[in-house]
Amino acid sequence: MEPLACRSESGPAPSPAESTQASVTLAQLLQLVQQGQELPGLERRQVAATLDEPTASRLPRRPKPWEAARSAEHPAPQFQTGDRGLADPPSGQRSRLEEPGSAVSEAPGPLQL
Amino acid sequence: MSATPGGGVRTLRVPGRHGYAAEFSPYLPGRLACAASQHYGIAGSGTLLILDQNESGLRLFRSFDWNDGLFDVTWSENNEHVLVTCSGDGSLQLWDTARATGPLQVFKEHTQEVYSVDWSQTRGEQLVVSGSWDQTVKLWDPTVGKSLCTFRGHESVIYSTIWSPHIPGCFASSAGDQTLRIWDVKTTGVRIVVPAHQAEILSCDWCKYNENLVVTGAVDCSLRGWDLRNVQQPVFELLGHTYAIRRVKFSPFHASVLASCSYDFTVRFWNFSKPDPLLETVEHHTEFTCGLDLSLQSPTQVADCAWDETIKIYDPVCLTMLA
Repeated sequence: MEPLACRSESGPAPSPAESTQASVTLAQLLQLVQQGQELPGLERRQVAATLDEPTASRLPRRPKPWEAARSAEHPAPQFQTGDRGLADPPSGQRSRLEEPGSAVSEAPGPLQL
Repeated sequence: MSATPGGGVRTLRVPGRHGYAAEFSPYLPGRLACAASQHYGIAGSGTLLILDQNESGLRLFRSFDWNDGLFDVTWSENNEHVLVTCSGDGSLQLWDTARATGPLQVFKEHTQEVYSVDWSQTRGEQLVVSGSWDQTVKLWDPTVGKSLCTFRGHESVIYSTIWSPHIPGCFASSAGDQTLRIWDVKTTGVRIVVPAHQAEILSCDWCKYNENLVVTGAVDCSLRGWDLRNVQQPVFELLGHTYAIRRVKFSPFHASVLASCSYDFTVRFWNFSKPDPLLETVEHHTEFTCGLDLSLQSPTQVADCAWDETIKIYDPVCLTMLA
């Protein structure tokens, strides 16, 4: 499926107080996108990094439950490079309109929900 | 937003936000981070939610908005205030829960959606690994603006990148190319390639008590365990989910116990050492269940989130029986 431009190009989003949180189903949403229509209540933000320093940590790191069970480090295992045969990969192209795992090895078809 | 009190399932409803990932704080018992997106992550903004548990249920401590959907979250292992999220716009964000606004830093290098982010679990390192639909994995030092390294090899979108809890500098990745790959930060080429499924692999995780054991969860609805010393065939296969597996996590407390969540709306708990490995099926969501985590402090507590706009914390019966 070709990636579609999903963003509304119209004016700024309504403030949270006035926006209606539309409970649009996924199927309705996909239909709106495919028809090139605006998504209801689409929120647009202009958030940027503050570049502040992190608040200083005051707590000690806690041991993980599995660390309590092990007394000492030991060397990493020897990796064996196994069979590298791969199944035919899918095209690798995807858009967010396809939920993960919807790609199939053949030509992409309609979204399977 | 409303929180449901009482023993049993604690629920927070977050209208207009679809949860993608949930992670317990490694420092603070009862603190949970949730990466969420507007409009199922297809378009619009994202929100990082920080939840605390109290006697009456779940409370939203703070939330942070981002310009695009958020798909994953990972807590710092050296600062209780810090966490990292990753976004549909290809960037990572570093946040500080003690500040009202953020993020502190933004890391923008990936050219497509970043679906996975993980902070290293081994004591000697403070590294973040990110996996993207641009088919690359990037390695980051959270105090440095540019990535340390880019790992190429996957032939499709990457869904999951997870550090080994035992082997320093080692991480696993799973992708739409149907492979599980094992990498080592000391070499940019992949160490092991496992053709683990004949379907996209949406999640993977490391066993916390066997450094050679990795589990994959795939669109074929199966979970498979892999011994990295011999990847010719899986050491276990767990069947039961009826739709794609979205996330799998090994238990922090029990060597052969794991949990998985799925597009079949359920969360399932398994003990792969049992002849009948399915321990319990939890069906409390009404939409794709994407986020799942097991508490590091409580052997019985689990968190999950789903596209039904809810985040839940609960203690499944099967884990209370193991404790």
